[in-house]
Amino acid sequence: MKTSRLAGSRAALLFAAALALGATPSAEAADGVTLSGYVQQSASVASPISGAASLSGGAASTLTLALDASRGSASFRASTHFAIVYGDETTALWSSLLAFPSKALSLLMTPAFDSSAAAPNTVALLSLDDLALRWDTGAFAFEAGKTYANWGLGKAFSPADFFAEFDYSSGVPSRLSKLIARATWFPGATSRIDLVYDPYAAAGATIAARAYATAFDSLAFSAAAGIRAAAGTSPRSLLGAIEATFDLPFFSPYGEAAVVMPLDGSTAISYSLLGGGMTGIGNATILGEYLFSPAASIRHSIFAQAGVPIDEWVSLALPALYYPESGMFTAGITVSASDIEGLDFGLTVAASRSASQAWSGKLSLTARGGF
Amino acid sequence: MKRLSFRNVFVAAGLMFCAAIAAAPGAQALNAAEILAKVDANQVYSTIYYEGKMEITSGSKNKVKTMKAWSAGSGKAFIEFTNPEDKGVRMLKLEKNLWMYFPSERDTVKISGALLRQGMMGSDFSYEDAMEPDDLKNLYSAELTGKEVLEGRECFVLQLVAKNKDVAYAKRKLWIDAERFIVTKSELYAKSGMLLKISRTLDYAKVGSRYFPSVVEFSDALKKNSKTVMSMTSLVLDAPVDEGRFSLQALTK
Repeated sequence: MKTSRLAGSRAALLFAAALALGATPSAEAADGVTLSGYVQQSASVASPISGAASLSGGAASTLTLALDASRGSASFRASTHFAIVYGDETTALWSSLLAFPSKALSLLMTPAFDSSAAAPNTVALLSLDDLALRWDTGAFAFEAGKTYANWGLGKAFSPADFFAEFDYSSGVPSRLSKLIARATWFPGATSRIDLVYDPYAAAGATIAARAYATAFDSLAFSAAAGIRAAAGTSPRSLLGAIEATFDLPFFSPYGEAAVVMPLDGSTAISYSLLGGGMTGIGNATILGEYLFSPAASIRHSIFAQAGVPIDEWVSLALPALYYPESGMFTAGITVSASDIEGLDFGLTVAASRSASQAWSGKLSLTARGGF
Repeated sequence: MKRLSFRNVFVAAGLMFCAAIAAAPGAQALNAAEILAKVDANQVYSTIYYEGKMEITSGSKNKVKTMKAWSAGSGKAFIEFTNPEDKGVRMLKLEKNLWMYFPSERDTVKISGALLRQGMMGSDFSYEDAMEPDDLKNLYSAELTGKEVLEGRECFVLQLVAKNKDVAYAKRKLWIDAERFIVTKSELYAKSGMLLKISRTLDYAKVGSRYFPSVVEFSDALKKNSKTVMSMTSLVLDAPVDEGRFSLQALTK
């Protein structure tokens, strides 16, 4: 039953995206409508580091389009990308889809995704990345579509964001957009209360409210509560979370605490704690996060990242993700150069250690031209 | 992780620019406090709107960013970037709080702590510069050290020392147009005496009875061959601005 509903929603989403993007030429001339996009070509080579070297490669050609429109108190955003993916990049895509099956809902691809099959050598896909309509009236805003809840403070982990799914496949954590509906009340200039409903959450349909406010010029905090429907072996549960960040002159610590309380008493109450901080040394920004989830399959998770802008055109990013129990580890360094003859370039060197303690390395290069 | 690059009415423009608003002519035998009061008085406006262009130069490379900016006093500001690379990126300043909105992720980030010292949008002035209040006479003790001719204009030279630690720059040296009471040039120093930033007013427009700096150049003394030129056009002063403009709702809309 759920599968057919999801398949229907996927078709509707893709149809809506096609309509939106197809309407672009005429809409472009209207007030408050913009179309932007980019073409990106990426290529990569990878090899095991431990054991015998064995080079493999991959590539992807991508066209991304984004449409933003606003009229009066309503705004609309749609973004989609078409890609032809080859070699190792299809393997990475397959892994990502296996980890986040909900991503397949907004994908049309050939050959179709089959979780029981090996990754094909070449894939052509059309993905709906974002499709949301927002309407503001007075101090209220209503939004629905494939978008982001963006609760929580964590950049790599966020137990207080009941709706977040993080994708680490690129080496840099990113939240996935999801089908949600949101109502927001802005009672003051710096405060907001969200009510979000995610009917298709993998962990169970979830509805929750979150209040965000600031105090003393340096404190930002929020509290959230919700309820999650039963799904699979997980019972219906109450959710609760708090988060806070405090600005110090040279350091900004932040933290989240979340709790899941099963309503049928079949399992124990579980909780997660996140601690993080951000600081700057010169122009460099350094961030670190530690997530402790005693009831989860991965109890300890650590993420760190340094960002170093050389100037407005060239920057370095050094992310690292580590799971101490399994020993899984990924670290990399990316050099990004923007606006060189109108193109942006990125060069990434990354090393990973799998749960089987095997090391591998990857070198990838991207070139992107926007319009 | 998002690269944090908030930019304000250009509030920065509002604020550091602001450090360059004009006054009435006729200043004779004024002391430092009176000169500063005239400069500060020229910076008072209820609201400001402008369209801005920021040209960032590093060596032979140049990048242009454009924006629309609204500000009310020195405490509230809202900026929306309009150049293609940053289109839809917005900044909101409410007193000592600064937020940035990234449209692609629909995410709002509060700029805080050490990040405030980083260059805004790769420019030569920082978020902290944008957060600085502009009432110099209340923040600094001023001493008139003499007069100099700067780019053909007679200027008062003032040395400012911060009254407390709650400012971005412990010392300032200002060259103030003796006729128009605009800050023609400003040098910003650390407590140690190290020169950190320099700003120069390259051009200004007369709006009503005020002289407003319309083109200001900023440079970071710690960077070589780097400067940022901020230009304001379509300047409107004291026009009504919807209070809702300065809110998280407007930031995320």
